[in-house]
Amino acid sequence: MELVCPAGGLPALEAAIDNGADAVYIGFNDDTNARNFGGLNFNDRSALRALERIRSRGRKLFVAINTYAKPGSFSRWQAAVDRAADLSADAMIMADIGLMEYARDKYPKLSLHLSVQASATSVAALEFYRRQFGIRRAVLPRVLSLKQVQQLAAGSRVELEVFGFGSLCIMAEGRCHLSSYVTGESPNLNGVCSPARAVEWRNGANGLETRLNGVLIDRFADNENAGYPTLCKGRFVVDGKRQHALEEPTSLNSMALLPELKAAGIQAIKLEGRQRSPAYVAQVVRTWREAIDEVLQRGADFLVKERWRGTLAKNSEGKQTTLGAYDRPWQ
Amino acid sequence: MVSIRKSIARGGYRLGCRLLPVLPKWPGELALVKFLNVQLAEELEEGEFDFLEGRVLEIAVIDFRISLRMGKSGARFVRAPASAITDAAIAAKAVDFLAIASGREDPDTLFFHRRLSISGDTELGLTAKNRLDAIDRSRLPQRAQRWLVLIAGALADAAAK
Repeated sequence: MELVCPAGGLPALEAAIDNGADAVYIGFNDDTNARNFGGLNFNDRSALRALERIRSRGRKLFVAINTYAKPGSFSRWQAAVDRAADLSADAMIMADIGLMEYARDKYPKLSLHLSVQASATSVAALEFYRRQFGIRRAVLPRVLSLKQVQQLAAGSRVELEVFGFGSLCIMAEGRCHLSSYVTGESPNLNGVCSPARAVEWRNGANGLETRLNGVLIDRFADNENAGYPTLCKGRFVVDGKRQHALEEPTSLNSMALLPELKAAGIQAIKLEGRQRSPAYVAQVVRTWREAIDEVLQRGADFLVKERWRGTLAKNSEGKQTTLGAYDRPWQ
Repeated sequence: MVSIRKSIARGGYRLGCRLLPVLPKWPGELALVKFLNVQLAEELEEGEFDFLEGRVLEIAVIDFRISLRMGKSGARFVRAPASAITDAAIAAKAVDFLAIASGREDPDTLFFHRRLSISGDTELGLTAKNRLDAIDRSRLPQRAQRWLVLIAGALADAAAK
């Protein structure tokens, strides 16, 4: 099982390598990737340094070009593919079928991984992407239950990668336009759920208030944990009661399912968090490295250690971690 | 040895809480921008802090009741003039700033736990955080790195009491 880890900058990449990542995924510093934040990600020079460090330590480098090209700006997305190909990255992570066609035609030897943003949830969908674009691997959306993941793995002819840990969203991956409702920008087209320029935090008499483009989306009492300022995680008055109407700020932690995922033939575990610091990457990667090594050694006897649970809980968004949709027996 | 270090840290911390709010803040600001100008000369040269040009970023150490305000002019970080309005402010306790600086803790984690807050222009604050995360700490002088880790650890222990 390959451990695929996030890096928003060179120190995070080094932290990932030092703590046992098999592969590290990065993005360029523009809207061609889904973590398009100011000051984050790689320019050509730092991407080259990233590649050197990856090669010298015998790991793999993946480049996420996982947003959808906008009309009139396809050339920027094509350029991102060219840049990743120039680097000889080990794989490109993509969702846009136009861009995948470009990559397949121009760089037939380059591995394509289907991004979670493509939201492929059936064997037929995976087969479509494999036949049309020759994808080697697909990252599965987090809407699937463990049973569904197992069924997909049994029928899939491409490698499968699933999410192990990280902030959860409403999980309509590749189809979510909620945030664009208030900001006009969506993760698929602009690479951000909540563009930072639209976010405002203000301490008021009733606690810490979050506004997105002027719209109040949450208010935290002093003792409450905060989350990322996205519309889906806001609290709204529904039927006279203020509540998380769509989604609570939580983090996914599928560590307890590692033996089942391995038995199902899942080839890779992905950790979320290119927007996080090297300190997060170091702690979370080290924890998962130890857990995966233990699963490889002990198989079904694997037990999640309390220390691992504690480290992951501390780094979580919201006050809890959950198995998310993996644990929905009714699905 | 450990307990001596702890009591020094605790004593130093209490003294800092009492003294720092009443001392003038310009020496601190001057020391901060001087340190950053030396350590981040390469990044400044490459334009990685251009987003701070003409802006004012405030770093508020809440337990010491001091706020250091800085900006950038040309190829250097500068103290912000008293008349300039703060564009973005990042506030936390000394122990948490040191935990971030020494690589012990992740700023988002501290933010979720309400130990770090950001106000004003979120994009400016977030960009500053991301640029600081991208700095290669191994370039800092070895002695400075050791001291940073040591002080951060001692303060974290003292704060846990």
